[in-house]
Formats: sequence, C-alpha cells, structure tokens
Amino acid sequence: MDELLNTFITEANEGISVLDSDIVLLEKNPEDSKLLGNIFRVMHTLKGTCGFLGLPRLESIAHASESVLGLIREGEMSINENVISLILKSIDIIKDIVAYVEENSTEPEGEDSVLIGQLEDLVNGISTSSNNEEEIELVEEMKEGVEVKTKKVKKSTKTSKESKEKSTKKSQSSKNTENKEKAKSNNEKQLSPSITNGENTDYAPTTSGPTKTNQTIRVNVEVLEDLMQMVSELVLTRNQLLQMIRSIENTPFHAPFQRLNHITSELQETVMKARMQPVYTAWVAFPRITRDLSVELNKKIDLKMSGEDTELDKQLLECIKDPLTHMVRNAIDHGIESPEERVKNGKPKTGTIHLNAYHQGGHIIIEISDDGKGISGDFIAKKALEKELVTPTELAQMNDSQIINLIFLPGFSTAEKVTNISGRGVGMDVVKTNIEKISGTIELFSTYGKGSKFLIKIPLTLAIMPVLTVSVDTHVFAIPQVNVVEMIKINPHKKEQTYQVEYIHGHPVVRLREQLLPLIYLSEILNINNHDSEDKKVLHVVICEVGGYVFGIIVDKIHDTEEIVVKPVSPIMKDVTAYSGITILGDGSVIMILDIGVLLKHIHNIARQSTQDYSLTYDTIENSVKIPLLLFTSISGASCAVPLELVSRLEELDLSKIEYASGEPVLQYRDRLIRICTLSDDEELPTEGQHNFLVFTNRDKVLGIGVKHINDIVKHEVNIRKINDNNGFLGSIVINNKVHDIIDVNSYFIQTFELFEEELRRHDLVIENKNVMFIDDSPLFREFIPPVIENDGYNVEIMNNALEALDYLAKDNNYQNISAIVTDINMPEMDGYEFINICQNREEYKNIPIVVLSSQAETKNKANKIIQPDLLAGYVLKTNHNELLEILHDNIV
Amino acid sequence: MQTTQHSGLYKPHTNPTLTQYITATIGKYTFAIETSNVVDVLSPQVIVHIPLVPPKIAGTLNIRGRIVTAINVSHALDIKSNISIDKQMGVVIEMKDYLYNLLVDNTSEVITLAPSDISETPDNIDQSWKELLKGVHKRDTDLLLILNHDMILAV
Repeated sequence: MDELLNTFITEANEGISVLDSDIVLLEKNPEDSKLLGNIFRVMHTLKGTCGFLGLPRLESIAHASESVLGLIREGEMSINENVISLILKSIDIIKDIVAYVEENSTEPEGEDSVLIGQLEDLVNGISTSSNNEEEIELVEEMKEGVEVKTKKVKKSTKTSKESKEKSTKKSQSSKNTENKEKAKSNNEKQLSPSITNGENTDYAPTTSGPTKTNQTIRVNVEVLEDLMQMVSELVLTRNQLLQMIRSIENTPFHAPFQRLNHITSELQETVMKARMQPVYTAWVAFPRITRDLSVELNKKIDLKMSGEDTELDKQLLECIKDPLTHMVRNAIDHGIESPEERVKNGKPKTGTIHLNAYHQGGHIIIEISDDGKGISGDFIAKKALEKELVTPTELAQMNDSQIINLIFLPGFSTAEKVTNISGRGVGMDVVKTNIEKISGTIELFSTYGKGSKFLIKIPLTLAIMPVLTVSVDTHVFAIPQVNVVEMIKINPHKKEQTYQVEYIHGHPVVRLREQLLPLIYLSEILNINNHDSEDKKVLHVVICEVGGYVFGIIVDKIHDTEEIVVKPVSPIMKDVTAYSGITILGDGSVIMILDIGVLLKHIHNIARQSTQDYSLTYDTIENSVKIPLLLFTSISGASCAVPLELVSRLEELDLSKIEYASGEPVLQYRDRLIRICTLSDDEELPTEGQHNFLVFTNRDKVLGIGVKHINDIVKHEVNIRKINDNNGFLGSIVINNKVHDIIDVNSYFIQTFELFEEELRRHDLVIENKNVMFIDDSPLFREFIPPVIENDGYNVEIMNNALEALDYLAKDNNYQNISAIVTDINMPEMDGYEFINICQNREEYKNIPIVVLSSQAETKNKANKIIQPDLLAGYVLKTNHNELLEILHDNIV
Repeated sequence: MQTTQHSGLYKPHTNPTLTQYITATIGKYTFAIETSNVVDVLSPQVIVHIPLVPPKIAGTLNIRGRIVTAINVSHALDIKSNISIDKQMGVVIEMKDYLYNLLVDNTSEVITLAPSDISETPDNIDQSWKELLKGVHKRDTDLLLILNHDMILAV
C-alpha cells in the first residue's frame, strides 16, 4: 500500500482512539478547554490529511464535525448530548471508513449527506431539537453504537490475534476466520443501520487482519540514534579486530570472528534500515505546494516525481526537507514562466518540474529540474558584481558553470522583486550550507531559456563515512570519498609516462585528458617538511572535486579506503580550518579528516579552473572563434603564445648594437628606437649575435621582446585558462597537447615605458573620468584592448555583446555617461552593424561617437557600404592601438 | 599517595568547601590541577602531531576509543620542561565532552585545600602567566601554583 496512506491510517487510528474517549470525557466536563482544543486539533489534522490524500468522504465528515467543534471552542455553542452524539456518530463513520481504506486503499462508495446536514444544521443554529423524536432515537442509537464500537474494538483485537496465529498455520483456517469476521461485520451492520440512516452501507467495517498499528511501533529517534552510534563504534572495533586477526595465522579466533564480522555487518545494515525512509516523505508536501503556488501565480505546472521510494536516512531526510522545499518553490516562482510567455517561447503551456532520486556509488542523488526560463550567466555575473560578492578580476576568471553557481553565495538573491513565495535573499546559500552540513554537495546546471537542474549528492548515512587514507611524510590523513574523483600516479623514472607535472610560473599543473588541472602539494599546504627531492619522487595525485572545481592533491602515499565514524575536532583547534573532523582508524590511530573545500580555497589564489565542459550557451559561441596565434619559445625555454594580430613585426636584430639610454637597453632600427626587454627578469639576452625579437608598437613607442625561437602560427580557439594576475601573462592555453602561456603585451609596455605612461596621464588629465564603452565577444580581446584604452586615462565599460551594451545604455540613463563606443563587428546574435544602426536611429544615443574595431581589413569597405562613413568616428584595426587612441582622443576631447 | 595509571573520576571531597588537587611538576615548578574534571592520569603515550595546529597543542592520541587532544602545558606556560614530550605523563581532563591530556613531567600526590589556603597570584607576575593561574598555595618547601585549566584550553 501507499506509504503515505499507511502513515495516515496509523495516525488516524491513533487519533480516533483518543477522540472516542476524549469526547465522552468532554461531555462530562464541558468546561475543559484543553480537552476541547485537543479534540479540535485531531479532527482538524484528520480533515487536512484527508483532503491531501484525496479522501473526500472522510474529509467532508471531518470538516462538518470540525465546524461544530470550532463553534464550541469559541463558546458560541454549548455542549449538549445532541451535539456530542452527532460528533461521536461522525467519528464512528470515520472509523469505519478508515478501516475500509486500510484494506482497500480507497474510500467506500456512499455519501453522508444526512449526517453532514445535521452537523451543518447545528452550525447554522437550526436546532435539531425541533425533531425531538429523531434526536432521542439518535441518542439511543448512539449509545448503542458506542457500545457496539467498544465491543468491536475488543473483538477486533482478539480477531487480529487469532488471525495472526492462524495465518501462520493453514490457509484454510484463516479462511474460517474471514468467514467469522464477515459474520461479525454483518452483525454489526445490522446493529447500526440507522447510524447512516439507511444510506448506502455497502461496505463491511473491516476487522480482518492485524491493523497497521500492530505492525509498527513508534520509537524515539534518539533511541535509534544512540543505537546507530553504538553500532558505528562496534563496526570500528570489528575493523580493528579484523586487522589484528588477519596478521595471525591459524588462530582459533578465526571462526568466531567470522561470525562476529557477519553479525556486525547485518546489525549495521538492520539498524540503518530502521532509520531509512523513502525520500517521498520529504517530498510529500510538494504536490500541494505546487498546486497552491501555481494557482496563486497563474502558472500551469506539472510536478513529476520519480524514484520517490529511494530510501534515505531519516536524519538526512529531515536535513534536506527544507532545502528541497525552497528549491521547489524557487522553481515554481522563478523557474517556470507564465503560460503566455511559455507559448511565446515555443514551449508547452504547462511547465514541468521533475523530482528524481536514485542511488549512485554509495550516494543518493536528488535532482530537481524544470523546463523554465533557466538562469542567465550574464545576469548572475552582473548581480554578483553589483552586490560586490566577486571582483571583476575574479569574475573574468570564471567559466559559465562557476558563474551560475555564484547563486550559492551568501547574500545572493536573484529575485527582481521579493515575493512571499521565495526570494528573501537568504535562499540558496542556506540551501547549500544545509546540504554541506550533511556532507552533501549541490550543483546547478542551467541553460538560459531551456531550464535549470539542481543536482544534490548526499551520503546514504551520516554516521559512517567512507574515506580515502593518504599520507605525507609520517602523517596520515583522510579524504572524504565524496570529493575523490580519481587517482593518478606520476612516476618520473618511467620513460613513457602518461602524466607529468608541469609548471606555470612555479605552480604545478597536470594535464589530464585535455584538461589542465591545478595541483597542490599537501605537504606545502600543511607545512610538513618533505625532505625527499620532489623531482625524483613517484608522486600520487588524488583528483578531488568540490562544487564543480577539480584539482589534484599531491601526496606521498595513497593507502586504503576505510569507513570511519566522524568525530568533531576539539574546540581548541577550531582556528585550524583545514580539518573537517577527526577519527580513529581500524588500527587505533587517530587521524585528521581533510576539509577539501578549505584546501580548494588555498588554490583559489593560484588558479581557478574546472573540468566543466564548455557546452553552455555562451561558450559554444566562443568555441567557434579561432584566432591566429603566434607560438614561440621564450629564452628560458617556456612555450608561449601571443595573438598574431598584436605583433607588428618579427625581427632578427644584431645584439652587439644594443645601446643604453638612461640605463635601459635600446636598439636603433629604421631610424627609430626600439626598447628591448625579455619575458621575465631572470631571462638574459646574449651580448652578441643575431637574436629573434617580437616587435610591438603602441602609439609612437616600439617594443622588442627577445625570444628564443619562433615556432609556428596556428589558428586556435581561445579558451584561456586564467592562472593568476601575474604581470606579463594572461593565462595559458593547451595547443597540440602542450601548455602555452599567453603573454600580455600590454603589461610589457607598461613595465618598459613606465615613465611614458606617467607622463601621458599627466598630459591627458582632461580625459580622465571619461567612459568608453568597449564591446567585443572575444574574451581575448576583452583582455587586451581595454587596458590599452585605460592606460590612456579613460574608464572602460566592457560589454560581452551588443545586446548587453544596449541594455547597459538604456539602464539608468547610463548613455549619458558614455563618451564613446568602441565596438567589434563580427559578433553573434547582433553584429556591430546592427548595433550601430540602432544607436544612430535613437535620438539619445546618436551623438555618442562610435569607433569600429575589426580584425579584418577588408571589412572596412563593407562597413563603409553598410554604414554611412560620416556617421562613424573611425574604423580601426584591432592591432592598431595607436590609431584607436588618437581617434578616441580627437572625438572626446 | 601515588597515582599512576589511575582511571576514573576522583571522588569529590566530602566537605564541599574543600577542593582536591592533583599535583604535577613541569621543570622546576609544581602545579596543582583540580581533580573535579580529571578523568585519568596517563603514563607517557605515543602522541601524533597534527600539522598547522598552534604549538600548545602537542597532538592527538587514542585512549580506549576516545580521541584526546594533548596539550603541551610547558609551551603554554613558556617554561622549560626537563623531559621531551614523548616521555611526559598526562593528566586527562574532560571539558564539554572533549578530552584533553595536559602534559606534565610528573604527577605526585592528591592534596586537599581550603579556599583560605590559596593566596592570590602576586601582581609582579607576567599577565600572561597570571591568567593561567588561579592562585598560589604556599608550602613549606615550595610554592604550589594552582593551574587554571579553563584558560589553558581557551583558544
């Protein structure tokens, strides 16, 4: 039978049995308000549950009785026999119906209009005493009824005992019992026909079989928890014994220990089972919530559930109940669009919210997905910036999945307006904290316009946690299995090795299936002296994942997986955040459990990366943009790359001609002075011979960067993996299976021409505080060009696409603060031409000078054809920073 | 009265105004620790050091299935101990469900003192020390420093 119905019947039976005696008591002590309150509550609950479970007949009786009780409670009706009888009568009918439901899972046919009518009459103040005869009759019947009921209860207990005993014997005898019961119920039916006033009594009040109450007993959760705790300890002791006994051969303990082992496992399983409840118990309120909210919000929503009988520890269920409710409410409120909007977007009128639960690798996965409007990464990013939850630099280093997951930050609420349904700004971070409290993880996947999916991963039980034990030096630590993705071994002695540690600015990384993962040395983070030379050692890397971030922890040894009981760390150590708990292993040693989330925070300053695939909307556009990159080897031998468009020339220059101007190396070349520099301070140029230089120009300044070899020019996608804000490098990129650092040309200009920049600023004070809007869909150019403009003294508003730019201009009269717009032409969704057209046709934007920036020279003619050239402030190649700055200067000053 | 490997709680003194103390030495000092929280006195144990913890935490150990945090009392008091940590004895006290092993050079006897036996810590003592002491008991041969273990365990 339905689990829910089962619970209901157990509860209803308990409630009714109390009601019977309480109402009789009430009749004797009509002034007892506490008693009355009690009765009212039971009836009220009953009504509520029946309504919820779709038992209309029960509900209507309970409702009518509740109304009467309500009036009594408010003192508007006095208690008299008549009232009490009517209520008792309704209780009897409820009892019978409940019994029927217990057996058949549905309500019996029939209706109770007469009884309900009488109850309603009472409420309406129509004295039923006008019909004295009937009343007396009723009372008599009632008394009889009560008697019968008492008997019946006794009987039923007896019968159930009988039937229990008999059912273990032969089926034939149980048939007899059934027959007997039938006879009994017939008997009862005859005794109480007038209770229902001859209405359809076409059901037998069930007394057959043991009632549900007999099958379950209620145990205080605390008892279960204690039990679980003790079993956990037992399991640990068993593990300890296991290790000891394994090391002894031919011991007489072997056989009894096997048995102990077996029993302990079974005991553990059984106790765990005792605490297990189907996940549906946490979902039970959702259909109702969905219905109510969708009515309130005028939305059409279909709530689908699957895997609702997946079982989960009761304690965990309690913990996820509120977070789940919050997420379902969110999905209804913010996720699913209004029917009109849905139709407009080509979706079916009715939105779907899907709850799904299943087991996966020792965990329970709960998914909440909707086919609503999804979450826009740009919107989240903007919001997070507005609320100063992230800095623009941090944001620039995040991929879409990380940006969307920003909604879990404290203080983040995306609701435009606060509704009473959700969106008080405490939402998702509380959800996340609650889930993390039970060692679970939550992730959000969303495609703008298509829908969102929350994925919650929680352990089966809290008491015992599987961990991986690792060691550094002599220290052993536990890493929760939930964080472990895989393990790899790096053996520098082997020639043909699969993996190797590479360094980007001294930070170790490893390439794992085309992904570049940051690595941390556990010894470094925990300040453990590691004497062995790290280059020669065989390294073990535990690849861990926390909230979408994947990284590797380098340890000396990986030992084993073990099940542990997590104990809290003593408060004296609470400042040491690296540990989430402490535990005793099977061998009796005490070890610390590493908090992987905290270790990740250490990495955050070094790198922000993830294995999240770049499949979401924005990045698919990015992937299609291939940019020619010049690949070269630096003097120190590092593989580097620079966008070809930024390079003015490649030159081979004679080093012996280096001269020094105010202590800085310069070379004369074609009547100009080229300033010379290397990629980093520790690189040194030879003193003579020919040497390769990359020559860059910025305004009248020419910079030559010395390099070892020019290797290749490739067209490549520009998914830069940002490493840090180290001057000189923007990040790294994997080309031909090799990591290349992308150099930040602009930073070399600043470094080398420091004085020049200072001077420039002084001259152009007038352009300070002028805002220039920069629009480009390519993240690479969003990195390169704005600093060039900023160095000239402007503030730059960076826009990822034309639509965003239009939004920005329109919002809060922002356009008034924009002195010029620099835009790319080739952009997805809305290209530069269309954007310019819109601007030119709007009165308020029309006076903002627009500079077109493009990487293709040939499009200049095209641009002139499409847009009237005189409307444009200028047309510049992306590489020609000089011209860009001049045009900006001319148009703004 | 010699108390080594004694386990279990000390019974409080029948006279409620009197307090029992277990005396312990570290370096040249003798300390008194209230017995009301003492659950055990341990012979030298293997203590596992934990990286990153403050130096006054010596490490952890497992005493009959319970996790105990070992406190390097001599470090907390900044006094020189005569013996290394792994040879030190421990006085185990229980505070708010957690066990702490106060490492001392040696434990000697259990004594009973009345509040009047204890004088205030003199003013010329360093503030950092003063906080860790509840007072001083003057004995014929030496001074007995009453240890304020709450403060030693304070973060």
